[in-house]
Amino acid sequence: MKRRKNNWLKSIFSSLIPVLLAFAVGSILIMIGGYSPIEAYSSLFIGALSNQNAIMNTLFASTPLILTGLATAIAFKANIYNMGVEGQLYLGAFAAAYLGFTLQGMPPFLHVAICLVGGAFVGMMFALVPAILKAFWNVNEMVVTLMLNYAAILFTTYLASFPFKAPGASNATTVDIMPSAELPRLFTGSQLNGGFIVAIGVFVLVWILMKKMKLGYEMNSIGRNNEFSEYVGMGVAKKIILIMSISGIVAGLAGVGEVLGTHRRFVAEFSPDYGWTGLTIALLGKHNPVGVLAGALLFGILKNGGSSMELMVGVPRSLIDVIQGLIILFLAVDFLNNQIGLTTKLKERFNRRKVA
Amino acid sequence: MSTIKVVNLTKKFGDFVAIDGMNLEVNKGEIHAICGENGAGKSTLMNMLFGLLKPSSGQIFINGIEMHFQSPKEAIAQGIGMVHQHFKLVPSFTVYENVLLGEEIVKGFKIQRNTEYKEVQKTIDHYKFDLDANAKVQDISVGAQQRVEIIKMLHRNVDILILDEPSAVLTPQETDELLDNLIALKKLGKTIIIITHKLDEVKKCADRITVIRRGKYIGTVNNEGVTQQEIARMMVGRDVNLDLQKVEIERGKPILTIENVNAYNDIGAQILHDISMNVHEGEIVGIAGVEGNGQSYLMNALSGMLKIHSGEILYQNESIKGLNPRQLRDKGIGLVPEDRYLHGLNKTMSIKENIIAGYHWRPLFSKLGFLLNKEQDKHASKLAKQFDIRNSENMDIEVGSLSGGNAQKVVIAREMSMDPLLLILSQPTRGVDIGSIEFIHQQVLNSRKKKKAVIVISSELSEIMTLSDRIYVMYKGRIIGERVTKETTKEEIGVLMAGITGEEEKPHEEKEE
Repeated sequence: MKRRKNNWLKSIFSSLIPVLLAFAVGSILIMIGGYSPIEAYSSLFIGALSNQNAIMNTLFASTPLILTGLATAIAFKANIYNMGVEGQLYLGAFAAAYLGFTLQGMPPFLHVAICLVGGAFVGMMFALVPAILKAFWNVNEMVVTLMLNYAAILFTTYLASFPFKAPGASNATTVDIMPSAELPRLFTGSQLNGGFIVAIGVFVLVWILMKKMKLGYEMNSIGRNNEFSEYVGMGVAKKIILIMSISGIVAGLAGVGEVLGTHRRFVAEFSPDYGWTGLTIALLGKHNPVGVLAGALLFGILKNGGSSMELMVGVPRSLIDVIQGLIILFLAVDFLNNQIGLTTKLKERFNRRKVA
Repeated sequence: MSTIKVVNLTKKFGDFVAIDGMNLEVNKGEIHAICGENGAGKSTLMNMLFGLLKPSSGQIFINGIEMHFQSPKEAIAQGIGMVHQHFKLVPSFTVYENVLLGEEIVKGFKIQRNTEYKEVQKTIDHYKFDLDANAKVQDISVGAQQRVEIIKMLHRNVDILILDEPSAVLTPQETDELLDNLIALKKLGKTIIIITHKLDEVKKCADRITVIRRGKYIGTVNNEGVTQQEIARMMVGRDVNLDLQKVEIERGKPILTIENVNAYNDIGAQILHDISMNVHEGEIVGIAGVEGNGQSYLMNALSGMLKIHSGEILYQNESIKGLNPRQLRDKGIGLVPEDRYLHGLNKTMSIKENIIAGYHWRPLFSKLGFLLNKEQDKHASKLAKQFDIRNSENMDIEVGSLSGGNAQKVVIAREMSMDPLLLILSQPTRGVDIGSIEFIHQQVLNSRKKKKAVIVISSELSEIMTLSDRIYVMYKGRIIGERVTKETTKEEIGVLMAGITGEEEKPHEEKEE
């Protein structure tokens, strides 16, 4: 068991490094701007975590990221590159909004449940397109999902701009959903709403799926060695479809939560790249549900604390985007390291120079 | 003076010490065999001599001068040539084009084909090799291709020739021819180092033998006055039982019958031609053949991984054509694939996860979609004990960290754990240490004793001869002969492996008695 534990520590460590490096480079940028990095970072964390309200808002900011992170992690774990979380999120969101404003006179609990199921279903159906193409015709799912994002985003924008545009609205948005479809706020004074409960529920289910269930074992096996998995009879094609469906469901739910809990209607292009941030979080969390949860909370802190950093120290909020970008960059280094042994190659080259 | 001298050579890959304080002296004009089990470090050692790998520490002297090779080019310049196990030839080029690849004779912008051909043919004639410089590599036999590799080195005037497992891809006859060629080269003053784990070849040609074990130098002995048993003991570190007890067994009803199976690959070329064979209860059937004659396709067809175009596969009188690996396992067929780390194991998963794979959905190990971890642990530990998987106190370590032999035992344990009625093994002991070979062979014989049916596909003829009751020989995707082991010889099978049938046999005439 000792070895396992060491691996655990190692993977936590290797996830922390890109984050710490990003903060380090960020602090250089802060200094160039003439501010104190210590002040800036402490105001960031104080703003995100210092009181109950701040914590609630951090959790609120994390909610969609938990879901998009999990959606990506589920697929990536099985080595299926679902880059279409963003698109699945949009379609799930629109489906939930449609059910939310069309169905009338429903009991609140039932109405929310219908919207959740409907959004999840649409997310799943949309993820099935690349899944079936990959499973039966070996079409590269990365390309298909990536491209379908545009289709989904533009299609929902069209829907919100023309057929379902709220009368008199100045921008592309639908009418408000029925109050019975709203995910209620959990506390006064914070936007934190029932969507967070949904996200945590999904997290628990995904954790059980990946750690305790047969399918989780098979996901792991397919991700590590596809040929082996086929040879021992896991039926890889069917499993790809199943895994992509689950990924699409979770991505759809991320969109549902935003509509029912935050916007209470569908707003065209409402997502500030939740899908892409989820991808970063999945990589940072090493496709592990607990890692994803931690990553989503970190990004929630950055998002929520960014504004207080701007207010209190004067460092512009866009620094947060820079830090997020740097995390991706350093993750890419880590990725290359695993794939082609970048640092060992560099070391070798360095040593050769020294000898010569 | 020795032409090659290696002093205290060490090679580390990370924490792993592949070669540990190695010493070696090779005399000029001798054939020196390097013997050791798979993974002992033979190839690592030779790759350092040839400049493919750089030593972590220690010295290499060639004719008394210390060398630090940065690349094979420098090694060749110092007169060292190497012939790899897998040839590096361009099939559509002629022999002379391959020999001069990268060193073409050019005048202006034009390659001087005529001069090239003459030069190469001169070298071939000088060494009296049976080879036509103008033939295309794709048209000549594997043995001849190997001669091209050797000529490639000789043409560059090397004095020292290293051959890495040269007989792995040859028929017994081609192997004999190769050994004769090597002895002839020795007489012309060349120094030859041959890496191998086949002791009969070593006995036939070597002057001296150096044995290495787990990266360490064990000793150098003269070929004269040493027995195969003694070399094996040096290699393994203990006494080895090279003969197996095989009890007489009355064979029962047929379990698997294959009738006229044909299959094509993705680009439409036929890869299996009219394969017909059968195996009975209490019988081990061997499929012999030089590697790459369709055995892998046959295995894939039997494992449900390759679509069969026509023909029939009957298992207990029921068609199993088109079933997937899961359905085959559920019917009681155990499958040990050829490529251990691609199809047989998931290298980065634990021993436990590997040993239940393919059976993990059985009610024994999972319930309502949840894995029953305790049951799996119990099952895995039981199998580890039963199949003597070493260093497996911890079932959570990665399979990739086990030795080849122990990793293969994990596969064998998994496939035999459900007591299959039919067991199909492909290259069951490739890259496996002698101790584990002994154990795996014993397990296969036990299955036979329990009146199970077994098919062994192997390119090691000695393995086929030891285990099987009946032998089919594959050549170019066909079965070109069937023999009862007791009534045949290694030589006769060897001739068949080369595609020579002697009498005009037709496959469908040699069906069951």
